[in-house]
Amino acid sequence: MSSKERNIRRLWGTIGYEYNLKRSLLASHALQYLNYKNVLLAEESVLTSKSLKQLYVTSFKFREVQCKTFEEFILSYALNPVSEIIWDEIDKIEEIKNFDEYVYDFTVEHKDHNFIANNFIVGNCGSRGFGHQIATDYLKVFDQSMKKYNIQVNDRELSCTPFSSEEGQKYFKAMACAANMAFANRQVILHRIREGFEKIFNKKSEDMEMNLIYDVAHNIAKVEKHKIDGKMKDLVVHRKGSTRAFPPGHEELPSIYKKTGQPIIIGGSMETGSFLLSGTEKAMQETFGSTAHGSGRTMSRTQAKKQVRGDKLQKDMQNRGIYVKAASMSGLAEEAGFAYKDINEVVDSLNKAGISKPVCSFKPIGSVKG
Amino acid sequence: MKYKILDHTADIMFEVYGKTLNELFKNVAIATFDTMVKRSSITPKLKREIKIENKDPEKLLFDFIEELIYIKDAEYLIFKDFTIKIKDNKLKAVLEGDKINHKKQILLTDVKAITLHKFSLKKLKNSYTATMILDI
Repeated sequence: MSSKERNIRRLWGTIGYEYNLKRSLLASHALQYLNYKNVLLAEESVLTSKSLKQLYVTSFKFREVQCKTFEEFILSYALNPVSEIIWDEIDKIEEIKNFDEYVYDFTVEHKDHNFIANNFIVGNCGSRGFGHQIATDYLKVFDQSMKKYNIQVNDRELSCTPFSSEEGQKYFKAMACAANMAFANRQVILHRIREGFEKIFNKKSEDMEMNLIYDVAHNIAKVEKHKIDGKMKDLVVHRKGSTRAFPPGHEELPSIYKKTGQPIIIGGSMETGSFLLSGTEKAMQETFGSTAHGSGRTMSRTQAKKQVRGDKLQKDMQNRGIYVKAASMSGLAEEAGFAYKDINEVVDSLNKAGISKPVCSFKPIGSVKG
Repeated sequence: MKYKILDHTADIMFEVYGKTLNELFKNVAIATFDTMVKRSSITPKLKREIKIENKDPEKLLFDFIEELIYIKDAEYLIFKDFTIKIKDNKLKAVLEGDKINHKKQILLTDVKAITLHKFSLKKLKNSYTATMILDI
């Protein structure tokens, strides 16, 4: 192999040694060392008026400028030779106008993620048929109890009963069972995802840091305290098509989210990806601590299937770097991006309404449709 | 025509037809399973019988669809053919199908539930029609 600088840079910087962590780190340091030497050479060239070429052929030993050995360099710049981090000093700070690229937040304090080259898996699945069976069973029970309590609704699907009634309490318990089933279901799905990744990458899921970050049951009724006409009241809040958005400091938030407010994941289409937002005080005042939970469809499944073929969509998405697996091609066509509302507009309106605050967006690289 | 798919943004809505109540129920079952699977890809290997009773034909239809979805979820079965007999508020149905197996059948969209929203069964002059929304 040629030992020309360009060649070495390509080997160390682009190809690397993914198969060997130690060598890979060493290559990063060596690349940094090359940069360091080039800076010295440039300085010396100005100082001595000698061309870079002239300087290049003379060893540092016989020149005025002192250069650290590679070992010294590693110790000074990398601090710890086995660290993946290479430290450098900031030269200057300037403001960039019209910047439209990725911004990495180096200051996020979380043991699982730092927003640098991190990958997330977002899923949306609940209790499926089990939860629905409970609902169907109780639709019939409530059909009777509505007569008993003299309640009228304009859609039978909205049949209901007083919360404190025997029927109401029984239903609430059954619903809690469905919520537990949904949590268990997602655990199984997560387990299967980990198995899949372990098989493909031949690494333990722990080593790939495949930790559960957040799991929420949203389509559910919860007993909560809310302020009505200046008085705190116990209410049953049901969030269908929405999700909880409690503000920072809310007593019901777990301690790790006390400072940030409740995490909110807004699922977009498989083409546009998703958003992470956080809960706000305004949501508490205006929407019973609720916000949207997805971008929502704008076109029926049949309409979407008429407009695009699944295999064509799969190819198009692949060309854009999004890999798609689907149980059926027609099922895939139903999920085409154009069948959903523009997620940027959805998130923007939530932000403007003040009922949740955008944190970051997820760019899709893969999508699975069951 | 057995049924027509009507436009619905999130779920799937059908208008189903039948000259008799038996035929209507059969076509409802066909529409339900057409949503879930390419029925021609099912080779019937087993029979399953269901019996339901309800004074109100509309509620009987609802119970019937509910039972089909329940059997699909609880027993992991899907069906291709249906023989329906309704007499004096009683329904007897024989379903012919197989265990769900994605290697054998072409599976489409899983149906979660039947909903009461816009659900109806109407008797016309010489036929019946039903409207239903399946939650998917």
